[in-house]
Amino acid sequence: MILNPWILTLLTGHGTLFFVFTLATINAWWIFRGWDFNASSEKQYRLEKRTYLVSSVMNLTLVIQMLMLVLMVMAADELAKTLPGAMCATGTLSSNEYGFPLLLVKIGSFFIYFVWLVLNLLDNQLETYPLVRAKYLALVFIYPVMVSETVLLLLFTVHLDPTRITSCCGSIYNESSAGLGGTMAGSSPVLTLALFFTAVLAILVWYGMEQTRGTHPTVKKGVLEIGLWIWLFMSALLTVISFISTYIYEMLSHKCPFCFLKQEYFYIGVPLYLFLFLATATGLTKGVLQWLGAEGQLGEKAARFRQKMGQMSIVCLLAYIVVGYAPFIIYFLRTGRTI
Amino acid sequence: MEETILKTVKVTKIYNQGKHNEVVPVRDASLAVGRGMAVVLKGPSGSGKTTLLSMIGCQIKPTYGEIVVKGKPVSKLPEKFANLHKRQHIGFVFQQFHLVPDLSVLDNIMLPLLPWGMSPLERRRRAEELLTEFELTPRRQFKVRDLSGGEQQRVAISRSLINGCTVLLADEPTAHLDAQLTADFLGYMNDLKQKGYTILIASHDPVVCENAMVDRIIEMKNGEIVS
Repeated sequence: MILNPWILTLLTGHGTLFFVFTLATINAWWIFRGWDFNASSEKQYRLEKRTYLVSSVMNLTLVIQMLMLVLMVMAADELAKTLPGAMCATGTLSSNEYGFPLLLVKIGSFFIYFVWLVLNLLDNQLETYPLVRAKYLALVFIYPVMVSETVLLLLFTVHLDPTRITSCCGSIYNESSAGLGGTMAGSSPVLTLALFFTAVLAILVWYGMEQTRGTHPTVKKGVLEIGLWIWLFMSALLTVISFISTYIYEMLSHKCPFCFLKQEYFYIGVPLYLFLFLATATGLTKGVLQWLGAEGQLGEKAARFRQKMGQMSIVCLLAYIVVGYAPFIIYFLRTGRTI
Repeated sequence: MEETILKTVKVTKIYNQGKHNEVVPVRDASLAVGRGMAVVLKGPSGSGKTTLLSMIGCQIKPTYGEIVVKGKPVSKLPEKFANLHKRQHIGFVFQQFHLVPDLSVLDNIMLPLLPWGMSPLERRRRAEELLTEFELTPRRQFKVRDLSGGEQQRVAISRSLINGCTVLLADEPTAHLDAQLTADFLGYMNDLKQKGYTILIASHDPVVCENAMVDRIIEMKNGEIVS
């Protein structure tokens, strides 16, 4: 383990959030078990007050936990300076077997937390709190994700060894390398672009149809929409590595998805990932909101939320395309050719 | 038929239900108050007037029964939404006024508008109107603790009206006032009634109960409405 301010910050922050999350989950379980909106008992009043507390605490906890993803990538980038062989966050994350699983869990949890936060916001705007039991049960199910994040972070930091030589991004994201990084780097840009833009097209057509014809929300449609956004997110990451990165670095062999978060590349990765993550998070949430149906107060409110989420996801997706493909367009306009 | 603004149906409040120290301050209270009416809840101390008034004012929830304020059932509303309804529709004058002694008259009156996110200009405009109406303009920058009892009461009324409500609830508003100030208070209530306000006053003061502006007296005893 390296006693570094970044690591200490990550561990302290994560530990605190884990503690709060644990307390909130215990309370969430009690609320789930005892909640009866129609009851006038003192127990129900106490639960009502408790739900305000848990809801507020979880809002704060999950937002910070989502930001911890950014902090973790920044920490990994900084730690690369102390690990032999590492040039950026890739080197740090690949320095032991827990780095990339941790990153993957944190990316997954980012979306899960976002969906929960929106559902919580929606529920808090309705006079009957129709989602109280569902959202707190969901919190109980999300808890293992938080546990795995914490355990992986602990294992990752404990196993960071400054004497062990690690690989740099150039060797990990190299088509001749074995492993997921090599496979992603070696993917055909034509194929990944086709996958990505098919997903974009499908999402735009879906959105357009909803806007013009209007659709009745169903669970099936929700699942389909979630599937579309997962497809888009995965293919977007593939295109970042196999295509977009080469135009940002202007090097065919450099396909790192982290280096362009640095100053020398004008932090272009920051808006790129921001828009991609926001587009996916809002798109996935819109899909989940389809599950709530269209009936009653909940249905009406959910429809307004779906509308907002839909607009936001499309705007962010288009912004992602502009930011991501600007380097290619600039390169093409400047040289009249592709790499 | 005149529109019912306040309605309670078999409202009961039980504290410490099922425990050895169970208390039932209000039991099966049903009443209806029409638009523009002035009604007095009369009864001795401990008869449940304040509890019933607090339930109608969305400050506490009933254990059983239904309360409807301006057409909206409020008895089951979660605290957050009950507060919102209260802020929008109900003015409340407390027995002890509950003003903030170190704030100015103007600031005290504007205080209920803070959670609304209203512009300072609009807040001030509304407050200035009430200052004029209740003859408090010369005292606008005075701290409340430096005011007389009658002036404090006028500040309390102004504060209760600033949210633009049309329902005014008052809990023993004349308990600490002398005869002249009680008459002044009833004068203000009469003016508000003429403007269409619906007024419900909890009081055991005979001067209030016998005032000409009162349309109806509801008598409470041991938590129950007896007449």
